[in-house]
Amino acid sequence: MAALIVFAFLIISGFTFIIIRISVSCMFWFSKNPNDKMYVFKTLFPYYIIVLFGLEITAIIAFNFEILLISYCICTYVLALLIWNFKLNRCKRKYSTTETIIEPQIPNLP
Amino acid sequence: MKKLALFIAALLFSTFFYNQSIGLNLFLFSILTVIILFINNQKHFKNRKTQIYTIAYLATGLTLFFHSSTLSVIANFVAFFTLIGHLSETKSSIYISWLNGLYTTIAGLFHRNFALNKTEPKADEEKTAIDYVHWAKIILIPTVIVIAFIALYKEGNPVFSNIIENIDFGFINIQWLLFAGLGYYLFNNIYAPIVVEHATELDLQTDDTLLKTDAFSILKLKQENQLGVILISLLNALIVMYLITDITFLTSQQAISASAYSAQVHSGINALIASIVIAIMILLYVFRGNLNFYDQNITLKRLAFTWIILNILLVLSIVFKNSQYIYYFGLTYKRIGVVVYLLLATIGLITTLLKINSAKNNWYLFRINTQAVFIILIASSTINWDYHITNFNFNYAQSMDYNYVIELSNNNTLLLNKQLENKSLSEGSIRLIKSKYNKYVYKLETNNWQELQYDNFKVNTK
Repeated sequence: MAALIVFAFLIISGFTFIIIRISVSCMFWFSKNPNDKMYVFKTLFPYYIIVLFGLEITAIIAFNFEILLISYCICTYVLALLIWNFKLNRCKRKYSTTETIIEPQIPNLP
Repeated sequence: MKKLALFIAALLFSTFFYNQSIGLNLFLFSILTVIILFINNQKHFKNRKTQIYTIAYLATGLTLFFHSSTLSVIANFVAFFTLIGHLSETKSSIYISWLNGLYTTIAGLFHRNFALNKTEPKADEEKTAIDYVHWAKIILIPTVIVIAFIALYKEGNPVFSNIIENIDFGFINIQWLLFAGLGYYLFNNIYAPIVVEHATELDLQTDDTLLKTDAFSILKLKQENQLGVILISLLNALIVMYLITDITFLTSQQAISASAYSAQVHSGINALIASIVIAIMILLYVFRGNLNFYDQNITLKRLAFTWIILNILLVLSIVFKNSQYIYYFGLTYKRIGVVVYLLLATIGLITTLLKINSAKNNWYLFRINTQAVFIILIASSTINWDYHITNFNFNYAQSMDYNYVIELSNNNTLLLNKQLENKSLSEGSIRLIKSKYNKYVYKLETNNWQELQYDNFKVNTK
């Protein structure tokens, strides 16, 4: 039984981590300036965290303030903040942008 | 000073809410929040609007002491977000205040940490850097050594052993401490409100006034004006006809049976509510742009004003039908909802009239109407609806559904108990009321000081 609980815990936490990690990355992928971390933070983070909070509160109310769900939601929320913190402060990855440089057809005009 | 205030607030937060239901605690929390906000934002509290929002917030908190209902809790939360959002940017619209308030409450600390990390000079870094390893050493090593020595001394002296065994840490409640941590996080978030920058900037830049665009073409506007005049004239004629038939119906309704009247009111009110929304949408479409600046639009404007006034008459006719329905069949939440909706629709119609008259844009309409919704929410949350529904149904309504009244929240329990003496109720209803009353009194008597309600004092004085 204990092994089953540990297994379920690992599965759920792993799945949650993957979902949140992908969702945070999506914010960067779909941003206009993915390499400008401050821009992504100021334009997308507020809406991301408000939507996440809204979903969690809805779930908590729908499941009649179940203590296990409240604990899970708090963990998810903290995890999301930690992932954002990692992406903003430590992650060195550079995103390739889709903007193409249009070169002038006649570059050496007098 | 600030840290100490937040720490005390966190402890009070846990004392107020840990394992408690809603009552006096939410009002005390409202006062605590206002104090914390005042300590850190004293300048903003000189603003008249901030003072009004503070009073509204405290009023909703006090309301929860007098009668705890879902509407009051929602109003208290909305007022909380409004006040915090307003402190973050006093010139923003109310819906942006809600957004800022919500964002501050959820992630104020995180936002400030990240935004300040990036903008503050690095000179402060050495000053604020914490040596965690050093702190771990300071705490862990002495603790382990002291525990080891206690274990040794216990063996050497029975008196000392007795003292150590009598020490009981059972009073420390981990959940209570976690709750205090949550309170600390909450107060840390809200003490210095922040803004959602892009949304706030956009709101501050957006003016209420409608501007003439470059696509100003007299020919096109003439055509649009003609279309508008014909459309609104026809709609005016239609609504006049409807109102005449409606008055005829209202004056000759004695012949209609109660069930037919009920069905007619239900279907009729829904259709009329939809028609008012569509009317506002049509007016917004017609007066969406340059037609507001067209010289020959006076007839169209007069027709629009007439249509708005006729729609207000339509609202009055619905109010009349609804009030008759309430008189015959009693007051219910749905019927109150219709009245609230009609009030909002009237405000919507009047603000549409003002928008057309002074060439304002749709943002003006949105700003004014969201403020109206906020005021109505706060005002309606201060009313004990369950009490008034019960009082009206017992004393004024021609007929009523007893089960409906009994199934309402505990806010009407004391009044229901009074009715036992006055009214000839059925055995089943009397049993249900007595059961409800006994359960409620038991709940009141077992309330902690945090859960105290006004009814506690009423019951105790009996």
